[in-house]
Amino acid sequence: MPPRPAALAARAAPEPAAPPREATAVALLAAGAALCPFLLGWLSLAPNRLLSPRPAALPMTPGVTLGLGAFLFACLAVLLLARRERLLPWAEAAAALALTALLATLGLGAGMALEGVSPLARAMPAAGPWLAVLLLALAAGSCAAGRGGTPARFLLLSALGAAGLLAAGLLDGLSVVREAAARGAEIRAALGQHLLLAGGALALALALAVPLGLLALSRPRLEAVLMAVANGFQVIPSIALFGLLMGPLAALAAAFPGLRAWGVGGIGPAPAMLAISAYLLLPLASALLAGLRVAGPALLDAARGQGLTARQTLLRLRLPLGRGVILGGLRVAAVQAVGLATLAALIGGGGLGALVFQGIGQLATDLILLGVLPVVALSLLVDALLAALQSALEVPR
Amino acid sequence: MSRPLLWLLAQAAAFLLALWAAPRAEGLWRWLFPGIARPVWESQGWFTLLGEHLMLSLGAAAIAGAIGLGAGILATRPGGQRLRPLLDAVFSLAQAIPPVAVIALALPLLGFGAAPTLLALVLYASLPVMRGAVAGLDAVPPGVLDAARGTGMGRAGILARVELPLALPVIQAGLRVAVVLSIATTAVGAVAGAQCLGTPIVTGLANGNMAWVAQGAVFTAWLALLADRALRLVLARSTG
Repeated sequence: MPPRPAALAARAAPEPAAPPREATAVALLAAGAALCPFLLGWLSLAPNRLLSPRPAALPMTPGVTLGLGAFLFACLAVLLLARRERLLPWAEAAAALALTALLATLGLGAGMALEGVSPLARAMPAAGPWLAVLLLALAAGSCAAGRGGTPARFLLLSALGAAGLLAAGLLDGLSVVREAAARGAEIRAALGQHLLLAGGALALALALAVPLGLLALSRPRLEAVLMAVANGFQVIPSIALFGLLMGPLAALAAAFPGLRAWGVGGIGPAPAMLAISAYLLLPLASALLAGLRVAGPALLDAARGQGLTARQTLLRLRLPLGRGVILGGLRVAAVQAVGLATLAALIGGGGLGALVFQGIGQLATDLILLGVLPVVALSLLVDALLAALQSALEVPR
Repeated sequence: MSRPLLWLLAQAAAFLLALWAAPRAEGLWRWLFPGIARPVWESQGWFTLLGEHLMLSLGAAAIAGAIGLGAGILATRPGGQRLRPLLDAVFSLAQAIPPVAVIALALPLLGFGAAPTLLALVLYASLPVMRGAVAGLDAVPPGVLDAARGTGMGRAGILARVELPLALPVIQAGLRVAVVLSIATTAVGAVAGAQCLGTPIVTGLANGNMAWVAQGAVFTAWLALLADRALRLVLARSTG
């Protein structure tokens, strides 16, 4: 029986909402993340810490199968949820679930693979899971692209998931977790030094950029000099600047031995902090000047007409209007400080870079990871925190 | 020849002269670093290191330029709009991972030498080119495109003869950042065994030889400043 025209019309009427423009990229990334551990291998086993690892099969115990199923289901959920604009935040959360399930699968699989082998043997993720993690992070980032670009929900949920798995002891089979357990105190000390280096450099750069920026606001020649110097530093490779500062600081410490008590010397945190802060001048100063100029000439005129002093104009008009832009510069500078502090270890400044360079020297992947993973986590955390603060303070225009 | 160009050539000549003179100026290094037994860097010739440095960074910049421009063109086509969220995600993720971390992570996979550095260089240098290409192509006024379409030009013709020429200044600015960035990042590659002007810095730091560190640092910084100035000058001429 041919369908009646009325029924046909009724079926065609509710036009399905078009998928958002994020849908294609997220779908490709989620599908890639689900596939690549199967294509590139799940686990590698090494007879001991120094011998090179060989690919190993994932032992399919019930626990591992459950984790694997959850991973594939979560990847599918990311793909499907991203097809509706208002479900994009949920797609981001599903990506975090996929990451957690992937970690659980690997941890359980590594624990099983190590049973009955020599206690020196180590199990680590093969190339597949690493690529899957990268693709999941990009998928979450794509979901968040329309809302400022920081996948805060993904980062928070993944961190919670990974912390839960660690606390439950599910990841103890992975070699990087074993290495971390063996070097717990060293890692905490390096993290503390890293925060001190990055924070100290940021404070130093702020102490220079804020007064100079305020002075340069009404002095074009000072502004030109400040910007030329700040731009010049950006061009100099960081490793060269670290090296260039060592000689003069060593000479200074030799000439005035009292300075050594303050940590001034050719080697150590002082030259590193100084060099890092040089790179932060440009983002800080340019954002400060741009932020203070958000208040247009007409507004400033009106303020002068009302009899506001320069100080009142600054505090009541320029700062409140420009605080979003200024915080944006602070965000860029803080993330750069965390990254640059990695190089401080080259000149004896300590920090997480010390683990990285030690790992490079021994070609020990776990050690490199123990240095790099906290750096990446730290800069993502700093970025997400300052982004949240920025969007909370942004003046709606 | 214009004065800025002459000035640039003089600076380049001074740089090359300093590279030539560095191994011959033993007296200077002994006077500057009295405590160091072998203050002269003799393991490799400075010109060899300069050549390797330029080859690695310019080669990487060329690859990155092609990738970045291609991705930028793709993302500004009507069908390529779907790529935009992915590009944004790549940008914000790359900001959080310092280049030295990429070099360190690639090291166990690719081994010591130039390969990990090349990978990091291509990844990081393609970002500013991509950003410049997207910004430049986005800024072409729709009226201009309409007019070009009205004259019967095809899509490829519009891209090659209207869009790219109009977007050129922004794309070139992106390329300049890419080249300067890759010259700077190449120096960091010395920690992974890449031969470049950063090698004396890393070797000197490992051996406690401040004279080698200072020589490597001076020449690395000098090369970067020189390249930046040269690119600014060349680009100002071609668009001015």
